[in-house]
Amino acid sequence: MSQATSVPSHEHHEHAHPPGLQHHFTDMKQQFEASKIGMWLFLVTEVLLFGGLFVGYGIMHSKHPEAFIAAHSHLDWRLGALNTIILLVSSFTMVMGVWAAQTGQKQKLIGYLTTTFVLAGAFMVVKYFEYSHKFHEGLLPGKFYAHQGDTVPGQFMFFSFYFMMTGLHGIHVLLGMVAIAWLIYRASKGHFSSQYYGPVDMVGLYWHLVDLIWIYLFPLMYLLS
Amino acid sequence: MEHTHEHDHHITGPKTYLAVIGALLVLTIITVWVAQFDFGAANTVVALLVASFKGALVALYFMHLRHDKFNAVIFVGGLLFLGVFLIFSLFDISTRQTVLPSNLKEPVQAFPGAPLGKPVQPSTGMPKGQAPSMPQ
Amino acid sequence: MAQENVLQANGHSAGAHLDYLDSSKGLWSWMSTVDHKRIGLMYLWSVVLFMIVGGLLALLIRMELLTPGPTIMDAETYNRAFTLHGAVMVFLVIIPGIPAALGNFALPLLLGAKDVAFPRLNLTSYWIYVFGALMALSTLVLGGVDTGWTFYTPYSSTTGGGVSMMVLAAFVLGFSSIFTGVNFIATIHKMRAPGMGWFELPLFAWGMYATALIQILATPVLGITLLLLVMERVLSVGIFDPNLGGDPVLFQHFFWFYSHPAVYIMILPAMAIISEVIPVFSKKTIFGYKAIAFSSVAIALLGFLVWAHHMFTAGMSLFAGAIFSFITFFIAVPSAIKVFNWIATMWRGSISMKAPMIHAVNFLLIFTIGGLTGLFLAALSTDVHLHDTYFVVAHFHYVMAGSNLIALLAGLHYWWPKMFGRMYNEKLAAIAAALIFIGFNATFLPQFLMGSRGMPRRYYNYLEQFQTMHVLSTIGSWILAVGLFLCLGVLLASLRGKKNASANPWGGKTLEWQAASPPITHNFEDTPVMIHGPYDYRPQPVPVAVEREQGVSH
Repeated sequence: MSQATSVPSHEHHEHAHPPGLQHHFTDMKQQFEASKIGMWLFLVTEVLLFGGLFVGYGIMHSKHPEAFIAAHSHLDWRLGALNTIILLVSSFTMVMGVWAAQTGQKQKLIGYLTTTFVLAGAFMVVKYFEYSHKFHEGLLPGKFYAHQGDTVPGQFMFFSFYFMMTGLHGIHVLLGMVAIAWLIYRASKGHFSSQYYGPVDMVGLYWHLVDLIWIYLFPLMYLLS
Repeated sequence: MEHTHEHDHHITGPKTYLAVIGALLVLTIITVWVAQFDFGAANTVVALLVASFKGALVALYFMHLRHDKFNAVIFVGGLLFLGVFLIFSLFDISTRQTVLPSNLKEPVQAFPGAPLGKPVQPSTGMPKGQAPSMPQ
Repeated sequence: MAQENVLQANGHSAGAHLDYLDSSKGLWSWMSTVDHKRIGLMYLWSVVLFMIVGGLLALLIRMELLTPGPTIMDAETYNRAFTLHGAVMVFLVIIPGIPAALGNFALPLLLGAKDVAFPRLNLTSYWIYVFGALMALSTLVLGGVDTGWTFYTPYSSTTGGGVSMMVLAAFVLGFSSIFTGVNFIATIHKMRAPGMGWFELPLFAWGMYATALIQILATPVLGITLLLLVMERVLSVGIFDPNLGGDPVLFQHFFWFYSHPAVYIMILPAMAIISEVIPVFSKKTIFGYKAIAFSSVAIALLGFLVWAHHMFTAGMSLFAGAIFSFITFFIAVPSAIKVFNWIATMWRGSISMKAPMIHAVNFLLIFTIGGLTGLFLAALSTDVHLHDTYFVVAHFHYVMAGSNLIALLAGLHYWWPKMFGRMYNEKLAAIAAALIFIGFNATFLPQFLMGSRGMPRRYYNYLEQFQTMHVLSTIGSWILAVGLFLCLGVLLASLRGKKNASANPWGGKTLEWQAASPPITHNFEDTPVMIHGPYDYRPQPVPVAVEREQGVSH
């Protein structure tokens, strides 16, 4: 969606357009507001996509509470908390990036975006260690579950949801990293100004949503009791 | 609060953002802290309440919904429909009665295809003893 | 795109005033276009192509059912044929049919805009659609799919064949649908012509808005449902598998949370077209503008609260059944409001029975039959008798196929002069419309009868006593096919002639008729301003501004 605002201006007809304005919009305000509505609608679809998993998780959890509680103790809540903090701080650096763009500070914008990118990478590194530990223990989804010495049946289902939900979330983090890298590239080319910062704002919204989903995943996955 | 003349949007400053991230980190500690207590059935509710408080901070300040009424309506509308999905599904799930077929005396165990310590055996779509069709 | 820029750079050269069909040449200029009108046409031809595929499958199915027992194919092939027919018709024809094809073409014109809000997203959505369609058709070589288009578990998670591919195809097609929805909502909010308030919006735009709401709110849930089904097949995650502590009926909740609102994705655009056609050919202001506009939104929102009426006999709790049955009856109200308003619009109007209007009147009849028979199925007790019989098949074909298809044809005949600048042969178009109406009813009315007498749906074989009605139904399908091919032939034949359509051949009052036929690439020479209401057929139309002040209603 953010691409909608990204076309270099077309010189056409008599009137000159400000840079970043597409031909079919009247002015920057119309373009900015339209892309913002589009972005929020897209975020709603993301919420409902994850929402389906949350509803499935909730219903299966209420159906098999013992299995879910027994299974969650295989997760290390400290790693989950660490990742929560990493994502929250990255959300903060992202919003500071938006502020830097709004106030036209190019160097600060690049700095904040790079920090966000590094934090997102750190999140994925922690995730990698978590996943490889689970793989090693045989704590795998569905029919691949091979953990020995369980005392409560049905723990595979918790890991089905664990991998589907954190996996889908991880894919979103990776896509976010691609988008942020694209912003860093464009910012270094000097594309953004206090008049035109739509793409930074849109990617920012997306990044906060990724953070928002993790805020719910953390207690539901790591802190069951 | 400054205004840019072009967009007429509020620009929130770094001070506010610092305060919000501080609050979010404190709330993360609270999330972990409340998880140690046993509120019985309300455990999940308490955890979700704290998470929602954090989520509201992110949405209102980082995502600027405080100054963006229209898009706030879109977002909250989406959440409402998620609520409809959950609650209306629960109308069924939570009020279902167990009806036993005549050849069963008691309900089957929770995970008939995954007894303790055995590999997980999904349904095959075939009666017992017949070769499963190949799912792929 | 590049060529377009050259033309724009030339400013007032002759090229800038060429219509959108001729403004640039070559296949690539179409494949890479961001012009909503061209994207609309590409959708249109794709939809027509897949409608022919799905229609031929339907003819084969009907042929097989001509006699009890094997007629032309074996049972396995039959199962795959009806599944592919359902999947192709639902995901490739009906859902994108009106919104993506006609909506893309007409919506910006109706709003007086240069384009949709996100033209490149629009093009992306088209290519995603093509990709998804290829995925869906590739199941033919992967061994076919025999689950029915609803993919019910646990059968779909255990049977072989190309189920995963078909399910992923539907997932991909969902993105296309979502992008169209996002585009339309942003367009209607932000791209309206100066002077066009919410209640000067053409009703087509209201219908598209309601449709887009559903596309955005429901499609993601289908996406995750289908992903869960694939995960169930690949990993056996357990959520829908009773053997692993899961709940197969939960799949039906997930599936119908999307797919019931999706039937309103199919019918709301149809209603939207009818709301445009009827006032124009009755030369009369639409009756109850606000009632029609709000009932569109009401249908869209209420449509989310009724999904489990597909599951009354699936083992759902009686409590939930009662709630869903109760709410389902309510959704008949806004639908009926619309029908009454259309009839009131026609009353004492100066009706001209041109091809679009013939289709619109056919729509009224077919939609009423389809809607009323829905009430039988909404009632808990009668549904136990009628569930999974041909009564259901006939009901949803009346609503999804009949109403949607005939409205699509109404819209196509209505906007055809605008699309291509050519008039078609009126008389032959009217004959085709009559054949389609007769053929459709001959196909599906007998199915109500045999369904109520117990003929189950999706069965390969049947009892002797049902044969007369099956034969009637099969003959009906031939008449329907002849009508549809005649209709297509009449429209295509018009393309061979000269561009002979005037800018406003029907005397419509909405903004698209102010553009040339066919329009230039940027639609209007000058941005149009809304001067009078979209359906203001009074001898001297009252200016919008005055009307707003005086509070005159439409």
